[in-house]
Amino acid sequence: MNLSSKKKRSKSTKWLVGISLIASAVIAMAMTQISSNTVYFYTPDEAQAQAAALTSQNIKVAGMVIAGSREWDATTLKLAFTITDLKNHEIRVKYNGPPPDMFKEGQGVVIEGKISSDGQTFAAKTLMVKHSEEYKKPTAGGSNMNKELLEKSLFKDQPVTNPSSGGSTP
Amino acid sequence: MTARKSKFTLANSLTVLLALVFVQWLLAWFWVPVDEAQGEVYRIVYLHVPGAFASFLSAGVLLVGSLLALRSKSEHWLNLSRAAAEVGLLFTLLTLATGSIWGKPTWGVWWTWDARLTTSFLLALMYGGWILLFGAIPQGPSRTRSCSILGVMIAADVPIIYKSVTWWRTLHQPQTILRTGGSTMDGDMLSVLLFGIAIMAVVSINLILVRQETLSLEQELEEKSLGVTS
Amino acid sequence: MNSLPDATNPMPYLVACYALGFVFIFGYAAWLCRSRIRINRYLAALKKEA
Repeated sequence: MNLSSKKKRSKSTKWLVGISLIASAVIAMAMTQISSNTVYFYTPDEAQAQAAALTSQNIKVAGMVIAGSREWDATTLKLAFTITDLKNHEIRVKYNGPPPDMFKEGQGVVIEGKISSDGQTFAAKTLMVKHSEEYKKPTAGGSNMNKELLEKSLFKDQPVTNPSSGGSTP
Repeated sequence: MTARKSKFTLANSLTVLLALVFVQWLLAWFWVPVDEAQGEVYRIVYLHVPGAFASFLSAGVLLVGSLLALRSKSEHWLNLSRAAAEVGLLFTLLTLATGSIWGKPTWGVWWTWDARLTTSFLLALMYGGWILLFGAIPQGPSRTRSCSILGVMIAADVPIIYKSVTWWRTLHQPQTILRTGGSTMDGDMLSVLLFGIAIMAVVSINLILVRQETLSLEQELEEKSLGVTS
Repeated sequence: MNSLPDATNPMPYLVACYALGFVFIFGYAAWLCRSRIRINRYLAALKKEA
């Protein structure tokens, strides 16, 4: 008789664990996906347009690395480069440490950190490379990659339009 | 009068399929060319994408089992659902792990909470939740109903995961294969990838069916040893 | 101009992924087959008793 009541108790515990897992999963999904205030990353013009309001927050911005903009000091491990949205909105990024291997000019990046209140500089604590969906074998004649594909996935519109943003069209 | 025993069993087909998986892995490592952008490390795609597809397909099987269970109110379909949940969890965890390992040398991070990764993580959580839920509720119509409802929710997450890179801004890159304008992968690479997806799809179905059969046999064993007549 | 560090070696990542794939897929299949053999044995034993 004791054994069956023990079994019942451990079964309810498992049920509670199961339900809580499901509930937290649903809540997490609702919070990250449905909330119109949650943006995974801003484009440079969106971030600059709202820089004054965003400056105290930890945000992510995505952009394309401008050729020749990279400065790297191997002794202090300080990296600096400029990102653009290809529509003349540029942000100077500062980061401590070496970048990921795929970092290079013309590459997409997603930076996480704080933007200056004037929107001109960004102190990044995380530097991620956002590459395109292409897979091509190397050929002698140079890159086979299509720059437009990367541009599209970096600068596409947010699904929930933010009325205060500069409003870049995809 | 001797009936010729059929050589086809699910176990035999599984052996053949696993051998084909191994062949595909050899092709992925030694035959396909290197990638211009990512170098050698991109070869993880030949495991990561087939695994993801298998986790989606398992959700499809789970949906079928769940709907049939809700309609017939019979216990019978729970074995199929349970097998699908187990195999689904297996492939989802594999996809998350290989994706994370691939992310570090390419994106520069092991993880990020973008829409693709978050919804995939949710899938793993729900698959695991299904198995826990099944173990927690005593046998009966209540268990069939609850598990089947969760099974439908799991299946609903799959199209969201798939479209997440289109609907939201993500770190994860957009679709490579199924897209307007044709795939963005070179021919040789694409062939081996499609081969891998096809094989892993059949492997996952086969695993589910073997597991379902085993669960049914386990029940039969329990009934027989307890002396219960069905 | 300072040069960036050398590129990461891809091998550990590749090996880790495919090792995981092997353990997960082939391991689960092996476990399935073993449990099936065990059940067949029990069922056969029960049939003998009958």
